[in-house]
Amino acid sequence: MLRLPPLPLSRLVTPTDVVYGAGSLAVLKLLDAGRIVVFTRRGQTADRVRALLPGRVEVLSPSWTGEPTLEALQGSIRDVELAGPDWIVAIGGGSVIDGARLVWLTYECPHLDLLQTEKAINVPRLRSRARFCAVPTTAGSGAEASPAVAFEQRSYHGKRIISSPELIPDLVLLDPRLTIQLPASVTVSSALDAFTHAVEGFTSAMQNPLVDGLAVDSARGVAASLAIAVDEPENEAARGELLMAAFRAGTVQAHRIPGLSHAVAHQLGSLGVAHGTANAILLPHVIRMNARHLPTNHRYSELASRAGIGATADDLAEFTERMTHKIGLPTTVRQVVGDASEGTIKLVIAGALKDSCARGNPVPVDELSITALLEAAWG
Amino acid sequence: MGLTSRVVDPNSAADHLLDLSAFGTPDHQKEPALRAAVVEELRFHYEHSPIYRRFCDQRGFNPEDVISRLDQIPALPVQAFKELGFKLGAVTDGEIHVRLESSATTGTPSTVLLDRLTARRQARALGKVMSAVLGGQRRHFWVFDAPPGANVGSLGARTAATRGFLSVASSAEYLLDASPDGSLSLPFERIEQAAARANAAGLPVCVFGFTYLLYADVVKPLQDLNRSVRLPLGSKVIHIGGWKKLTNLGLSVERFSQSLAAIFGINPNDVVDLYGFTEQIGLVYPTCAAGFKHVPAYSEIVIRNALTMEPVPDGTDGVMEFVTPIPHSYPGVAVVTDDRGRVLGRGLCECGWHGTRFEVLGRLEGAEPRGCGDVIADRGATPRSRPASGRGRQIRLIYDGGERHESSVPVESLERIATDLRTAQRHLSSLPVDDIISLIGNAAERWESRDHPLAHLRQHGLSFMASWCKPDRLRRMADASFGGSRAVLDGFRPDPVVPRREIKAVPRGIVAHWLAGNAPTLGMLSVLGSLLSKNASLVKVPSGLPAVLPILLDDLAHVTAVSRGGREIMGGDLAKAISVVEFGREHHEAAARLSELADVRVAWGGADAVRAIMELPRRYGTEDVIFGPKLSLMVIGRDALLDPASVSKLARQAALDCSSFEQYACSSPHTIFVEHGGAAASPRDFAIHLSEAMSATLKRLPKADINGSMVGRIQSARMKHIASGEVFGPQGLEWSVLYDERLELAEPVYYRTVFVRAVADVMEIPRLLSSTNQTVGLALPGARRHAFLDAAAAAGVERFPTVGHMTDYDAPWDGHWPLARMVRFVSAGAPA
Repeated sequence: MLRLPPLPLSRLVTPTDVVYGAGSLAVLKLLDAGRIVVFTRRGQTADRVRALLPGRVEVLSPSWTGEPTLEALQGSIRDVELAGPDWIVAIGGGSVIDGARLVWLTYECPHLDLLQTEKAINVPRLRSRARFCAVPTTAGSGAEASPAVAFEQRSYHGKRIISSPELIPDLVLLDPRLTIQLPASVTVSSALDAFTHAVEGFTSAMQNPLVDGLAVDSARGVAASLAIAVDEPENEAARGELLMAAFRAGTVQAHRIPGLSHAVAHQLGSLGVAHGTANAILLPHVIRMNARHLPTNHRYSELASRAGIGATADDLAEFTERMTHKIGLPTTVRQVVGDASEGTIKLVIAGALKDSCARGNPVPVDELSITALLEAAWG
Repeated sequence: MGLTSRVVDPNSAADHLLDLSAFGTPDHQKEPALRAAVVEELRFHYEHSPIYRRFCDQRGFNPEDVISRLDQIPALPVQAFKELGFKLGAVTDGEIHVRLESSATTGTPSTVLLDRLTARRQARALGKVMSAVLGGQRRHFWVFDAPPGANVGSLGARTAATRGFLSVASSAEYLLDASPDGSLSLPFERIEQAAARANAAGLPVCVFGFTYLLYADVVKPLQDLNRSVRLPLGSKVIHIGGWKKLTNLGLSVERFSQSLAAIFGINPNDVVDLYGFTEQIGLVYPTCAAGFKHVPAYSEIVIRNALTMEPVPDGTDGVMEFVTPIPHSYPGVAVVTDDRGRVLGRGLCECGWHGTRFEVLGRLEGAEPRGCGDVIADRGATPRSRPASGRGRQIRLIYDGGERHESSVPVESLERIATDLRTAQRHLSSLPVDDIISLIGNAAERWESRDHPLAHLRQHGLSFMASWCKPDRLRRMADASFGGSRAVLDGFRPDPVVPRREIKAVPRGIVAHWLAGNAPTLGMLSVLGSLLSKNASLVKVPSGLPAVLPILLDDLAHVTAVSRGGREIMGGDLAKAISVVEFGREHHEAAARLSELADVRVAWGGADAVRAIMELPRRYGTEDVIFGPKLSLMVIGRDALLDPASVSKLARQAALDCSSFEQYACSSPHTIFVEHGGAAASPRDFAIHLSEAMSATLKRLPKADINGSMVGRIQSARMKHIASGEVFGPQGLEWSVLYDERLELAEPVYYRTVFVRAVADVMEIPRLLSSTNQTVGLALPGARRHAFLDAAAAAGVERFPTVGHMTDYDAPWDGHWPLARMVRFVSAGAPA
């Protein structure tokens, strides 16, 4: 791909190949590779991969869990150095895909100081050693379409983000069969994470008309298929729609900064709240708050009508609430963090103000507006 | 010259100066008289010598300005008389009495045009100096030289000088015989007879001769014959001429004086060594009884820094300049010699003489520069004849087994070294290329350190090399060299082009490097290329190359690198795959053995050196990588000169290319062709912009020093251009921009000497180019760019980087991918 400096123009950078369909995991068999490393936590999937790629694959269980830290990645980095693969394949949710991309980066440049790669320009050219394939097993994070990967380092005490088009996977396999076993709660929270990417992306202060259509399609896909996937977990068509919606929403998120829901969800994440759950709680309140701003209200209405969700901002908010109620997901912040101290709340507000996603909110935010949001969402 | 007659004023300031005592005049009397006389002549030369006038004008010097110090006067280098001697007259051709040519035992002869007035002044000055040396009485001279011929229209400087000295003689006789082939012989019987006559008369004689002739044709033959003569009491020996040949023979001034005194039976104090030079003939500087060279009242010495040409304090070594009003017919009032010296004192000497005291420290010397750009000299060069075998059977081992050495070993040791290298190479080939890159990167961080032992080479390639070794850069270069994937060095990898096929790059084994001497850090780049391709290196360095490589290898040997996965690699593993040896170019046996041990031969150097390497025996299948002599240039089209900002930027970038490595790199430009028609700058305007940029670049890339050969080359180039073009540059030799309109590639001078040449159409340039031209720095936007590229590439040019990036060492280089040449590419069908 082209290595362009940041431009004051719209640009769309996507994975080189995306294959969709039930059983698309089998495409791995066609990879032109002598050695393939696959990261997955699923035993059945591991067996399937071994059967697909006899003698060519080394299936590894990720050495990290949850959002990767450099320390936790160490074991997998060593394993990959020893294996010397031509392809690295990550089969899993967002954290597996993100961690595997970091492993890939260090495999390409084993002596790279990751802390000096936060500027895209400092990310070296990859793919001299291996290419990367992402196979999402949840329909939500959109990591398979993202140029960004977050990690933590103990000595740094905070999240670092490396973002470069180099980190976008070469191949994405969207195989609905891999998501069939997901429980309803994960299905809904993941899908509402994707829905939030679509809604906040569509209304983002950062313009990029190239992804508007993707946001609309993504919202439509979630709206049309989530309830079916909950009611009929083995419905491959609905699962597939959700996978595509998550991929599209991930692409939207990669090209537009989301808004206030994400800014606050990141802070709740540090209190142990799952990202999708946090967004599911916050998004309806954020929509209603932003909708007081007339141009943003019009934008919500446009999305709702184009996605077939209704005609108003409130329709978007209500859809979110309907889905959370449907399976009994938490609907207030209090339900997920309990009675937080005043100091904790202040930290959440301060963190959200500093979070880069706050800049993507279509209506400028300040301490008062975030406080008002939390009061509304606290319950 | 346009003058038909001129009144010679016998009461000129110079003539008044010559009334003063040579060594009896105190400085406070001498200085105003000398300055007045010099200024008078200076103004005359400025008015009547067009070339000297241009020389002064281009320096912004106006002779009508107040001249408070003699060192303010623009001094012509002696090279001016070599390059332009015939054009330097300040009088009409009809007034030229004698055209004098130096003997020029080495290099180009100087030419000096003398009129009668100058000759008369010379005679007066010489007479007064020699009177002081020999005493008031005229003496009978024994001249140890051949009798002069009859031709006086064009006179050799030796003959002229002898005649000058004889003007203070009462009588003279020549005591050497000349054979038809010009060789001289010593008729000892005639000398004995002359000695007998002198002793019978009881009158002291003066033995006169040129230093080396006296040694070679008199002292040595008589010493060989164990003969001597005894001269009358009070006799003296005076000799003049260069010491270079005697110094080369290991003969000191003292020993030579003692030998002369012994042979002629006189006191060593009566042997007088005179310093003088053709370009100010008539002025001599004798050694006094206290052992100092003295400046007479008729001239003054200025010592200058050889690089900056700024005067230096007394006692400091520098290049000698002499200022005198004696020359009238040519602008020789101030001449910078190519001799080194220093001032030892002023005022009254313990010997009783006045006048500045100095000593001559020898010629400005230094190796003749041999840069990559010396292709013009190499064209048509014939290969050196190959000696039957080397002298001795030893080579010098400099680095081996990861350690420095300083020992001589038998030439057969090369086999043992190669065996060890092959063992080390097998280990090297098992290391991931990224680990090797990382180690090199870590070593480069050491090379960048300000307190590195080679920090003095920062501007001579060390900084460049350290920058070149940045891991990201090495990764890119390796990727580019191996079809986009350096990983093929580590194992079979998917072929990026052919589906279902795998490729591996297998190192060839031992790369033998023949390094050139012109760039001390070049050898390391060559070795690093081998390391990156996982080959062992057997490096042959030329004799006398500074010990740069072992120091750099030491750094490499002592770094480690740990991958993020915890894999550790030691620099010593890399260093063990490198051995460095030294032997002379005549050691054919060593060269042949080295060649036969090599799997790849990498030859750096001039055409004849490379040719000699290629003629060495080699095993079947050995790969040859040649980095031969190349000449590079820059081309600037009119469309690149559209606005003032672009012109300034282009000039700054061009200055960077012209200043890096002092132009010793193959990719350094020596000629810049600038097209007429630029909206914001003519070619001459660009030369002026470039001059400003060259000056500014000195801050970024300062110069360290300069050797004697470079002084001569630069001065010669500048002087040639005074007549045929324009010279832009400081008084010193830090940089020179020589502007003209000649449509040809200039012969490299190096050391930031740039020829800017105006051209009507850049499309005229490709026909000047050939396969000896490596890099063309190109600033040619617009539709003609590809037409130029196609034509110049077809002519043989290998690189067209943008201006400012000419010396970036990248790949392809010299038309190929060097790393790829050091491996075998092996293919395999991919697994099913």
